[in-house]
This record gives sequence, C-alpha cells and structure tokens, in this order.
Amino acid sequence: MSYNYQEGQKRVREIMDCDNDIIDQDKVPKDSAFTFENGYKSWVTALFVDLRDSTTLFANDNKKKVSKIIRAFTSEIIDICNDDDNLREIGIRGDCVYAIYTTTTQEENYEIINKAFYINTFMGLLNEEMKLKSISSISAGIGISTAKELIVKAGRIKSGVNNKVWIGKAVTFASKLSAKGNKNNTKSIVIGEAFYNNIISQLRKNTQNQGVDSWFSEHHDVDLGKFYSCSIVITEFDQWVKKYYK
Amino acid sequence: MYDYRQAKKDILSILNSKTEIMKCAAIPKADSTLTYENGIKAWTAAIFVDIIKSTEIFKNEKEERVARVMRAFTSEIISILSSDDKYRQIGIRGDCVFGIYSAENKEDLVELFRHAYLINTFLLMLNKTLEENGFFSLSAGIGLGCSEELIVKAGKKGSGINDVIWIGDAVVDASNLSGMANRGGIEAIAMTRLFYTNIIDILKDENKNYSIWIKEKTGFYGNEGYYHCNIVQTDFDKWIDEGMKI
Repeated sequence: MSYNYQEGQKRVREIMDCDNDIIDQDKVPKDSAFTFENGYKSWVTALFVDLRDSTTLFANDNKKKVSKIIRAFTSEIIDICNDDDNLREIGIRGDCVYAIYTTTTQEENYEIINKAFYINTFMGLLNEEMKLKSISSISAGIGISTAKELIVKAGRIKSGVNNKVWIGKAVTFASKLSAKGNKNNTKSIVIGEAFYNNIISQLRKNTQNQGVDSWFSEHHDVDLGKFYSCSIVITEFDQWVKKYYK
Repeated sequence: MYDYRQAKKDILSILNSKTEIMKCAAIPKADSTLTYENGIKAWTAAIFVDIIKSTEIFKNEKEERVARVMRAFTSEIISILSSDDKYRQIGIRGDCVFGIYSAENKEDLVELFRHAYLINTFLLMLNKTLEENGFFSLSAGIGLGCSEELIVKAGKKGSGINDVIWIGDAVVDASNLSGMANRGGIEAIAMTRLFYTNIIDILKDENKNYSIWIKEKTGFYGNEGYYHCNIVQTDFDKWIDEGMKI
C-alpha cells in the first residue's frame, strides 16, 4: 500500500484548478478527441446485460460447461451490440456486458431496442443449447436508458486506466435497470421513461398496431422514477429457434 | 444485422471447444494466461465505490464543475485501488469505481479492507477541499465481497474486445453492498459476513477495538447478516483535521 495522500491532495487541487472545456455536440466523438482537460455533452443511450443468478451458475460442478456457456453468452451479446456505427464503448464490467451509443435521433434509439429484442431472443437459443448439455437455464436482465450525458476522461494520465466517466442518467440508470430485469414482476427488457418515449411510436408503426402498448408493464422506483419492462422477441428468430429445437 | 444462424454455429463451436479449468491460488497477472480455451477458478475479492444520489447532485450543478469533481474522485480512487499488485481489473461501471483482486490468503482481504478505509478517509479530504474551494460535496458507499469465482476470458477472438468476466458472489455482493452503504443507518463501509470472518482475527491482533468498530447488521438479500463500519486511516484523518498542511 503506497498511497501518498499529500500528493493525492495536490492532484485533486490540480484537477480542480484546471480548465475543463465542455463541448456540447450532437455526437459523442471517438476516443482520441478526449483529453484530460475537456468533456463532452451529448445524448447517449446505454445498454447493460446483467446475468441473473450467477451464483447458481457458479455452483454448477461442471465448470468447463459453465465457462463455455459464459463465453457463448458474452461473445454473442458483444456481436449483437457491436453491429452499429454509433457505438462508443463496449465491454465487460465484472459480470455485466454493456455498450454505450451516441444517439441523435429516435431511429438510432430504435436500433438499440431492436438489439435488446435480439438479445432477448438469443437467450432462448442459448437456453435450448444448455438444455441439450444438461445445464440448468440462465436468464439475464437487459437495461436501457437514454439521456444527455456529460462525458469526461477520468482515470489517471499515467495509470493506463483511462476510462471515460459517463455522468447522467443513461449509463448509471441502464446499469441499475438491468439489475431489475427478469426479477419479481419485471420482465427481461427494462427501459427508462425517456427511452420508452423515444421508441414507442416507431414500435407501434413497425408492428402495425397489434396492441404494442399492452406488451409493456409500467413500474416505479424511488430512485429511477417511472420505467417500463417487456419481453419482446424477434418473431422470425424466435420461430426458427422453436422449430429447430422441437 | 445480426445473423442468428451464424450465431448458432458460433455458439456450437464454443460449446464444443475444449476448455481447461485451472484451479489457481492466485489469479495470474498476465492476461495471456487466460485464453479462449480455458477458465480459472480462484478466490477473488471485489470492492465497489458508489456515489450517493449522483444524478441529483449532477442535475443541480454546473457541468464544468461536475466534470472536475468527477475527475478528481475517480482518478484518486483508481490511484488507491491500483497501488496493490493483486488487482486484476479496475474500472468504472456507471457511476461506480470498482476493483477486482486476487485473494489467495486472508492478508489480501485485509489489504483490500485497508483500501476501503483509505478511500473513506480520502473522501473526507476531497470534501473538505471541495468545500474550501466552493464546490459541492460528494458521499459514497463502499462495498466489499469475496468468493471463489470462475474467471473466463469473454469477448471474441479477433474482435479486440477481450475482457474477462467474473462469475460468482464477490462482484455481485460488493456491488449490492456499495448501493446500501452510507445510507439509512448503515455506515460507509459494508462487507459480507464471509469477508468479515476472514479479516477480523488479523485486525484484532493489531487492535482489539476492531471488533467494536465493525458492527453486525442483518438485512442483506432479505435477512442475511453483513458488517459495516466507518473506519478511517488515523494519520491521514488527523492531517485533514489539522488543516491539511502540505
């Protein structure tokens, strides 16, 4: 342990005293635009996938099988999330897979809920495969939130940990919403109110008014406010899975 | 768009690939030990630092100031967490800073506990510095957990995303406890029972008062017991009290 708190305070003061440019713009720039002296303000949408019951999964004696499942789970979710030019950050944090997008239009947000539908359908496929290998099924919570966020590069100049901090209701809320998915009475895809308002009219249009509104349940949380959950799948994909494993 | 037929093939190739599970006392440092064909089972400890009411604070403050405070907060906590060669992943998840450590023996857990109270003390210094400079203050909850975890290199060959995913209780518990600590009568540092039972004897040898300073509480995951405290690093704390002279 070698933390020098006097040096620490100096660094805190340096940061406090340095001028930060806050640039308000439509799109979050690529990594190289960020310095330790600036910040960006933009609309972003975050998607988090949080594995339910990782304890049960861990308790399974066959760790080889479990490792493979996990690898399949993460790599496919990354594939689904990766497929987008607006992607600005993707990765794994502990036991969550997450992706952050810059979003300027409702169409771009619709692309993201569409990814959630794919992930939700994919979980069905994965569970069928697990059944074949006699592993008990797993589920996940998918959280999405959109907000105008302040993005700064944190970490330390020399530490190699140069993560961006996303300040606002997108990333934090998506992470918290994902923890609620597929638990109690909440369905697997959990979305914040602002995101819901961004995607619902497009979804109504795409489904030709088959009663989309009734597919969503409304919830309320002291910290997160109003949010919605649904368990929508991609019909064609889902039917293919059902047929294949019949 | 996402090709689920290809996905099915990818999954099968993962599920059918040979996977070696190595049981390790210490989690290997070099990422190269973990491949897409193996997994590791090892004792792991995790710490999460969660800012309380972050969205509310950030809503009411000038962005430029928020950016500075967040940069100071995250960079110093990362600095504390990385001053230990047992760390295996440090990052930012939403508005939490977290660290995951290899914990082959009790001393490693004690060391992580020391990081926790150092962070607790650092926050006093940060807040005092913020106050002196006319900034708003921040508070945070610190959560600690440990367990034997399954560690799998996730992501995808050739994708550039090759993060590691941690399956087990340590990460989940630390994250959940950080969301409870420093709120509603719970002190700033909260840890699981398992974490506590592993560190308390060593701490008592140093100062028997540790068993008074760290108190028991129930109510984690319903009615599980956990422990909480508000310990600070004495010399650092004294220096803050005496006016932080450099």
